[in-house]
Amino acid sequence: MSRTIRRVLAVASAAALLLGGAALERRDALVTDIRAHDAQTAALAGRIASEERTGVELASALAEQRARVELGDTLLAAREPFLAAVAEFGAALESAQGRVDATTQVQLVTGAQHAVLAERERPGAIAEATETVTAAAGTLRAEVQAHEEEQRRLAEAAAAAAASARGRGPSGGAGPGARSGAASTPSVGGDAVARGRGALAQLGGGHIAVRAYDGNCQGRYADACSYSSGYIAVAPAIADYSQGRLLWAMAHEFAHQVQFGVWAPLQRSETFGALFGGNVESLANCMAAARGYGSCSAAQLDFANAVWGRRVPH
Amino acid sequence: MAHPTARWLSAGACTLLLCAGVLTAELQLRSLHATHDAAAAAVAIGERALDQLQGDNAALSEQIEAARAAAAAREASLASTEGMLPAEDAAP
Repeated sequence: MSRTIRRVLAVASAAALLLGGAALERRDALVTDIRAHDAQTAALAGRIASEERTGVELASALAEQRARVELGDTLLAAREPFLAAVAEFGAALESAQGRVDATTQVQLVTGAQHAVLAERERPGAIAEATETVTAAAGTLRAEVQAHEEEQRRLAEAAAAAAASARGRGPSGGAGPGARSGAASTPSVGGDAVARGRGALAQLGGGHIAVRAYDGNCQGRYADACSYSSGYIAVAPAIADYSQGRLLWAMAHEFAHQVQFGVWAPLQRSETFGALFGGNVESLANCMAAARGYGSCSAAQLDFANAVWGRRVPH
Repeated sequence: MAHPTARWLSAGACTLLLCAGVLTAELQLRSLHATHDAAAAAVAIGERALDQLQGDNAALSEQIEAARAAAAAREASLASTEGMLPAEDAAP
């Protein structure tokens, strides 16, 4: 074998060995990399599966919230005609004050309001409540109309009686005494309701209904109690009041009726808080004082007079 | 002592075998490279899919928050007594 060929073979063998070694090293590195990538892919697959589950849960939660919003919109839409019916009833209630007892209808409406406020599922229940309120307003208006017709009939009868009395001449009782009967102001004295009505009429509150009660003013005893549905209740003890005390008591209860008419601005009034500590009883006392029954500071009397005029200073 | 021709032949054969081994290793390396590239591509695809899902879920979370706020607003409106008759009050 020639020396040259021997060298060539030796060099080729050495090169092959070197290249083979390098190839093995690269192979190891690649295999390690591939294993790392496989592990990474497996981890990613786990995280992807987890995110997909989360996505399904989130989509479900979103659908639930959207359903709540949609139901809320439906309930609010159903509430609009209900509030319109309540406003209509409020107007009927205002016209009924001092004319007819609206307690039953007010209870029906407040019951319907409670049902509507509590309703979170069925728009149909709100529609039913709307019908209740509309019917209550209709009933109240009919009662007021019947009352007005009755008053008109009584006035016509009284006028006819007066004309008949005038026709009988002086011996028939013409004069102030005979006419006062027709005017029919309630007599002072007698039972509690009659005395209360008389005093109230004297104070300019003759349009407010006066009813008898047992003295239970929403859980505590009081000889008289003013209700926001538009009437004043008096206990039998009122019959024994002196005239001065009776006028003070009725002025106080009449003041509460006026307060109910300006309730919201009254509760917001900072002056009311500053002068009366937000106490409607103190204000009612000063409103009575403004009518000459009791005494209060000048600032309190100014405020009381404003409230009598249905105006609430801020 | 072997014949010189036999020595020649065996040396040549060994060298050829070595070269063939190197060539085979190279071919295997190419295949491994392809596998490696495919694995890297799978990782990249997985990462993109994960990013996409995370983005989608974040968007869903935001929508849920907005829907919750809207539902709370509806609830406040439903609890409001505005426009209703005040409860019966009584004052002695």
